Amino acid sequence: MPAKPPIGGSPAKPEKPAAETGRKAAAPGQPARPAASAPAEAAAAPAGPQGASGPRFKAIRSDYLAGFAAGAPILMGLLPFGLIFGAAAKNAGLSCLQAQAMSLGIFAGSAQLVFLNLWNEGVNALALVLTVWAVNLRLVIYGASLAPGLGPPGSLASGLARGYFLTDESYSISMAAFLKEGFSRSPAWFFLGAAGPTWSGWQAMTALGYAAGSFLPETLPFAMAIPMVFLALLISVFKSTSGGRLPKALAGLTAGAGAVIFRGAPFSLGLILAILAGVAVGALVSRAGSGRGEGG
Amino acid sequence: MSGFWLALLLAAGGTMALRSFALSLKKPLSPPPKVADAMNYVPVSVLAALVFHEFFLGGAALFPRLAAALAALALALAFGRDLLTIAGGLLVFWLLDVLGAAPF
Repeated sequence: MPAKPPIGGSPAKPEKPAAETGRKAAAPGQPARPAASAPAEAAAAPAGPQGASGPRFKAIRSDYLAGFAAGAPILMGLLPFGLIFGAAAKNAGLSCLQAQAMSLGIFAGSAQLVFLNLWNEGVNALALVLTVWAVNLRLVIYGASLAPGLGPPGSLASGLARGYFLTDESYSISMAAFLKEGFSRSPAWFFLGAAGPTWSGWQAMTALGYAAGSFLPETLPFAMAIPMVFLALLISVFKSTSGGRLPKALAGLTAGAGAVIFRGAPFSLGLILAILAGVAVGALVSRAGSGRGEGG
Repeated sequence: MSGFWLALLLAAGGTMALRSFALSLKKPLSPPPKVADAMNYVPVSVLAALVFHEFFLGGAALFPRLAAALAALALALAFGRDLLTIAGGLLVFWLLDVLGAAPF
């Protein structure tokens, strides 16, 4: 699932150390930047005058396949979530086209489940869209963190293409690789390769889950599948993402209590208010903790 | 255009904008430290709000939902496996639902 748990989950291990691949190693804690002589825009550029057999094409293909290989193991944990989404979409009364359009258009698992859940509950469309955006806000940080490793895009189309494939999985795999070793030729192709298994697996499982949803017994508690996924995601996020545990715990409790307290808010904005309250509490507690740390 | 397609268009367009924003800039983006720190608490706040909303305000009886949530939470903390968490919670909910064990 593109926004599959764990959000910001454990990075995949690059396939070979820099010494073996001959690639330039990055400084510790810093993403490797493309070498000055490297083509800065790998994602949008054609293979070049050498054609499909030229050394540049081989380098692009090599980095794309390396990314694809690094991203493939994630499918094991991702596919069941795609099935759950497809089946839940069927169960919620969406058409096959609507379900697949969600996977193609949003391509972010937890955001899709949120959309589906709120749509099914008849929540105000504005609140639904704002909540989906809130779920995906972390992608801005992912992009900011990944951009130095990828280099500047050659065009808006290239930037959009990179953005479309930015998920928890492609981010964590690529960052792990960029932190450990440099990519002198085409880091963007490694990134796109890392996103390949996630994208294709998610689309296929959406269709398969939708088809399977017709055959599942009605006694199965499908209405509870999405809340259970949210709970599993919450625990993963709590354990794996950055930020202190106390601020995260207080942020979660505040947001959770807020969701119950603000349930009658006008325009179905209770969830948004709850989320804002949680983020504010988390940030304030974090700052207070930092202040004490600096003072002490 | 139906409400569904309009909502999907807005959700997908906004998601695309969030994803592409930093990756489309010619110079790398450096968000202010306070903003970057606050962003750390967005995922946990969003998911906690949804979890509480679903488990406390869902349609079915409260007891099976809370019991299933507690079972899933225990499994998540003990094993840290997402699929086990989901399957275990669903199994508890299904058993309580089938047995009609809903004191409240």
